[in-house]
Amino acid sequence: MKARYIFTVSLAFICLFCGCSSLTPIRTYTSASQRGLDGAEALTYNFETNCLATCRDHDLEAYRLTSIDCDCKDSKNADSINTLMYNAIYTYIIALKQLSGKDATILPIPAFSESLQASPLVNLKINQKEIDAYTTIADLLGNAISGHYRKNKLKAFVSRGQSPLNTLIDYLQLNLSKNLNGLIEVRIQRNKLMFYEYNSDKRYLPYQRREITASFYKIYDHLETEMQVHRYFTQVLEAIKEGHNNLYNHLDVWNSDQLTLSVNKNAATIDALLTKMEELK
Amino acid sequence: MPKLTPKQIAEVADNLVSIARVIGDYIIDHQLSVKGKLGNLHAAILDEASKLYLLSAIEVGKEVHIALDELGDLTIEIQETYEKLSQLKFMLNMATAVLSIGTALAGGDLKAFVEAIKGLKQEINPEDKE
Repeated sequence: MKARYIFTVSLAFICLFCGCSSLTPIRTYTSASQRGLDGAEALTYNFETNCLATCRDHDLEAYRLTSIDCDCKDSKNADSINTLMYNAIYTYIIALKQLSGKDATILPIPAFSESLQASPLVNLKINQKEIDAYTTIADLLGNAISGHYRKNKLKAFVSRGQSPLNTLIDYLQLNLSKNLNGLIEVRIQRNKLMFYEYNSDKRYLPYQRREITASFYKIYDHLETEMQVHRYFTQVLEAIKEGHNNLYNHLDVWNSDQLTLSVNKNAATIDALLTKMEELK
Repeated sequence: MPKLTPKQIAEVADNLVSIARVIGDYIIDHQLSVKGKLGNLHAAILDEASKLYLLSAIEVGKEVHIALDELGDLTIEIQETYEKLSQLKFMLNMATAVLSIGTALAGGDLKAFVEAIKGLKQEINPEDKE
């Protein structure tokens, strides 16, 4: 009876001091974000790839079998910048995931029951049932208080991470969906006119012209697919940014149903985009 | 003249590509020669657009320095916090503090219980003065 009373009082105490906080939304967010960022494996076409392919296009256009020097220094730099941004975003998300993870605060108190019985301060005769109850309370208190500590720390980290994360995601999106896709579009336009020129040559027979046209569409489809992969990944990044914004905008109510709902919706969006990226392979 | 941002540079490049697309379609629709003036203009515009896209991508590097440093430092701080929670000494101190709570509870001593809670909170976060 006493155990039940203390258990109830302690639970109230935990809730009073620790706010019955939940780290589930940030766990859901970081897990989904990590899955989304892992989707970058599908991004096989980068600035350097485009540079080398453009050099090959020029060789083809000039009927040149011996390739001229292909200077891709700037393209390599652009790729390095993207890698830096991606790595910074990824390690931040993983660090948040670790800190919010369930394994971050497992308290080693196996000898608790013995300590209780041996303690000279305990002047009550207590039975095993009560000891079990006290152990449960201590576990709850320890994890709740350290959970409370982690929640406060995580809120401060999310708050400070909001601005730099948004900046990096915005620029990574710009480089993928605008700059890299823009360069791919340039390749498509060049190829289109080059194949038009081949097709205009009346020395080619109809079946040869059909083959030339088929070659163009093969390149076109390949480049369109690469662009689509970048568009989907840009949307993944947008979902990661939105999820972080949600956590940031609900700092005072991390256990609200509204936040849980929006974080779950966000995770579903990321998973749906990953499925689409997978289908393109 | 103010310097263009990477986003503005990319927008200029986008517009150039749109113009080149129209010229290219015009050449094809009217069966003109690619070697003519329009063909050369088409190639020149696309070359310029390529340079601008690459310039925009490299300019991004100059814009993200601060954000990279901030997020990098923050990540290290988060990792250190995680490591702190994982450290054996810290965990043992925490466990000891939790034991004090259990002992106070068992003894039915409310004052000792409150003190033990404070001790645990202090152990978890030494900066917390409350």
